[in-house]
Amino acid sequence: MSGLFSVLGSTAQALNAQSVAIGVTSNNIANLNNPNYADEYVVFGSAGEVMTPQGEEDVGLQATSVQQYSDSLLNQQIITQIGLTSSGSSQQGLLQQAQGGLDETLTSATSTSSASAAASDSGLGLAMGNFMDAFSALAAQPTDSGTKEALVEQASTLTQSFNSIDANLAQVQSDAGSQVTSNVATANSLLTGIANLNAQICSAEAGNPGSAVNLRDSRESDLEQLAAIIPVNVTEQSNGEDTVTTPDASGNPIVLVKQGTVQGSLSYSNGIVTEGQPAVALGLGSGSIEGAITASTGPIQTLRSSLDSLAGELVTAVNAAYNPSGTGSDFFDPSGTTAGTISLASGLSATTLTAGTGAAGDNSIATAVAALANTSFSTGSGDSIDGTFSSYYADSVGAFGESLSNVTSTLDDQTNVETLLKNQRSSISGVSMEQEMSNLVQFQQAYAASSETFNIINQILGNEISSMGSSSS
Amino acid sequence: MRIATSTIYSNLVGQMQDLDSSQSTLETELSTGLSFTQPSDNPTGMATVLNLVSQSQEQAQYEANATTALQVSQAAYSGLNQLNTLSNAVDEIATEGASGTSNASQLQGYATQIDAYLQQAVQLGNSQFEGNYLYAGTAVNQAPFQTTVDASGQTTAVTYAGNTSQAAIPVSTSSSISPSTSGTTNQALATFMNQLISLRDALQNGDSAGIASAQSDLTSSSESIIAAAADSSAVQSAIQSVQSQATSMQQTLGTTISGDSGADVAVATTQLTEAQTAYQAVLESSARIMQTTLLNYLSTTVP
Repeated sequence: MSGLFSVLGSTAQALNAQSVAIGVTSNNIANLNNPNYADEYVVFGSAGEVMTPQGEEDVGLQATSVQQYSDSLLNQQIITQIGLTSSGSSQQGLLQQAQGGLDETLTSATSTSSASAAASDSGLGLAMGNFMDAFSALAAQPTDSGTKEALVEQASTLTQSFNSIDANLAQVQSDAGSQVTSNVATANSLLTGIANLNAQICSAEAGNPGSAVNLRDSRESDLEQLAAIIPVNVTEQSNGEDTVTTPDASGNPIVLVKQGTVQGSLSYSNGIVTEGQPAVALGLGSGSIEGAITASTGPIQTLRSSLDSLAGELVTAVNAAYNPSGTGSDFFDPSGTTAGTISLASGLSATTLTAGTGAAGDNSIATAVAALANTSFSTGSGDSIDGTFSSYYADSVGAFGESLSNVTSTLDDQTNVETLLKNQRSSISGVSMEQEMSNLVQFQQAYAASSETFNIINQILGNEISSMGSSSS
Repeated sequence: MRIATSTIYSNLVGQMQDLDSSQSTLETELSTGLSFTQPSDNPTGMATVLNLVSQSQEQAQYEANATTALQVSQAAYSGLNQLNTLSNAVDEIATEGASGTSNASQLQGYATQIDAYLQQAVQLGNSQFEGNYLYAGTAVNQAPFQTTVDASGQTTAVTYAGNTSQAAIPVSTSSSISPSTSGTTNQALATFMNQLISLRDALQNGDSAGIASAQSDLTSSSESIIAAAADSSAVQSAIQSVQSQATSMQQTLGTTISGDSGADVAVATTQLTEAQTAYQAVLESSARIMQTTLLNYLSTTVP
C-alpha cells in the first residue's frame, strides 16, 4: 500500500489534469467562430507506475498533450478546391466588370410604341442601328440640314461608343494585370510566413508531434490563402514541416517552401508568373492569378478583337459606299480601323456631308450606305466579319455573355463543392457547442469527484494526525 | 454526423443568401418586366433580342421614310391636280376663243386670262416641299421652270432646268419608292406651259387656226397631267401599303421581343411568393435552432 499521502498526491494530479481539460474545452468554446481553428482535445495518460509489494501501482493521471482533430487528406482537397473556386471568382469579377464596360443592357421600353423591350440608350447596338437609320433618313431627305446634323451626331456617338467600350475593356485588362501583380506580392509574403511557421512548428513539436496546435492552425490558414492565389501541393514531413510545391508548365513540381526556407520567390512580367532564378514558369491551373489571366486573355480579348473587326469592316464598307470613286472625301478616317481608333474623317460636318453624287436631291450615296445595314459580309470573301453588322455584334455580345454565364455556373458548382468539403472538415475539426458543453460537464464532474476524494483523504489524515497528537500528550 | 456549431450558422446564412438572391432576381424581373437584362443572364436570348431590336429600329426608320415619301407624293399630286383644274379652265377659254364668236377685245381679254393661268402654272411647277422643288427631278435646289421674259414683261418661253433623275427612298429591306414625278412628266409640264404661251399669243393675234392647234395640243398635255396624277396616286397607295407593312412588322417584332425577353409575370409572382415563404421558413426555423443548444438546457435546468 502506497499510503494515503501518495493517494493525496495522485488526486491532486488528477485535479490538475481535469483543469487542463476544462481549460482546453473553454478555449474550444472561445474559438467557436474562428474558421481557422481546429477542435482541440486533451490526451490523458498515466503519470507513471511504481512497484509495491502488492504489485504495480499507478501513481496518477496526467494530461500528456493537447492535440487537434485534423484530416490532412481533406485539407489537401480543400486547398485544391479553394484554388478552383478562387479562379472562377476572379474570372467572374473581371468578366462582370467587362460586361459593365460593354454597357449592353436591356431596359423596359418607354419610348418605342410597338416594341415592348429596347436596348439601352448607351449600348453600341443601338448606336450602330441609329447610325444606319440616319443614313436611311438622309436617303429620304437628302437636302434636309436637320437630317444631316442628326447623321453626323449619330456617327459621332457611334465612334465614341466604340472608343469608350474599347477603353473600358482595356481598363479591365489592365486591372487584371494589377490584380496579378498584387497577388504575386501576397503569395511571396505568404510563402515567407509558411517557411517561418515550419521552423517554429519543428522546434515546438520536438518530442511531441502534432502538439503545436495554434501554429498549425496559422499555417493551414496561410496555405489556404496561398491556394486561393496559385495551385499548391502540400506534403507533411515527419518533423511537422510542410513541403509546399506548385506544378510547372509540364506538371512537374516546383518546390516553393522546404523546411524553414523559401526556395524561390515568385515574380510576374509579360503575362507570365515565374519562380526563382533562373526563372521557371508556373503551370497555373487554378487560383486567382490563373483566373485573372484567363479572363483577360480569353473572353475579354475575344470581345475586343470582335469589336476591332466590326469597327474595321464598318470603316472600310462605309467609306467604300460613301466615297465610291476613292477620290472624294471619306466618311470615317481610313487610318482608324479598330474600336479604339475609329473616328470620323477630319472635316466631316453637316455641311460637307454628301447624300449623292449628282444634283442636290440625289440620294445614291445615302442609299448605298443605308443598304449596308442589310449587307451580309463574309470573312471567306475577304471581309473582316461574318454576317450583317448587327448580327455580328449580337453574336459577339452573345458569345461574351455565354462565357460569363459559364463561369458563373461553374463557380456556383465549385462553391458548393468547397462548402461541402468545408462542412465535412467542420464535422471532424469544427467546434461543436453540444460536445463542448457535454465535455465541460464531464470534466467538471470528474474534478468535483477528485476534489471530494481529496477532502475525504484530507479528513482521514487530519483525524489520524489529531489522534496521534492526543495520545502522545 | 457531428455538426460543428459554426456550420449550423454558416448553412443558415448560406440558405438565406441563396433565397435573397433569387428574391432579388425575381423582383428585378417583375420591376423591369424583362426576364433578363444582361448578356450573361441569357446569352442566346440577348443575341436574338439585339437582332430583333435592330430590325425593329430599322422598320421604324422605314416607316418614317415612307411617311416622308408619302408627304412628297401627296404634295406632287396636289400640284398636278391643281394644274389639271387649271387646264380645264384653259380649255373652256380656248373653246370660247376658237368658236369665232368673240371680237378682238374679248380675245385680248382671254389672252390676259391665259397669261395669268400661265403665271399660275409656272408657280405651281416651281412649288416647293420642305425647301425642295417638287418637279425638278433630283435638281431640287433650283427652280425647274425658267421663264424667258420680253421687254414688256411678257413670258415668251418656259424651259425645263431640272433633270430626268428620280430619287428612290428606301422603304423596306428590299424595296424603294420614288415619290417625286418622273422626268417625262416634268418635261410635259414645261411643254404644257409653252402651249399656254402659244394659245395666249394666238388669242392676242386673233389667229383662230393657231387657237385651235394650241387647244388640241393642250388637250393632249392635259391627258399626260391626268396620267401623272394617276401615277402619283398609285405611288401613294403603294407607300401606304409599305407603311402598313412596316407598322405590322414592327408590331410582330415587338411581340417577338416581348416573348423572348419579357417576364412571365404570373410565373415570376408565384416564384417570388415561394421564395418569400421559404425565406420566412428559414428565418423561423433558424430562430428555433439558435435557441436550443445544450447550453440553454443546462443554464435553465442546472441550478
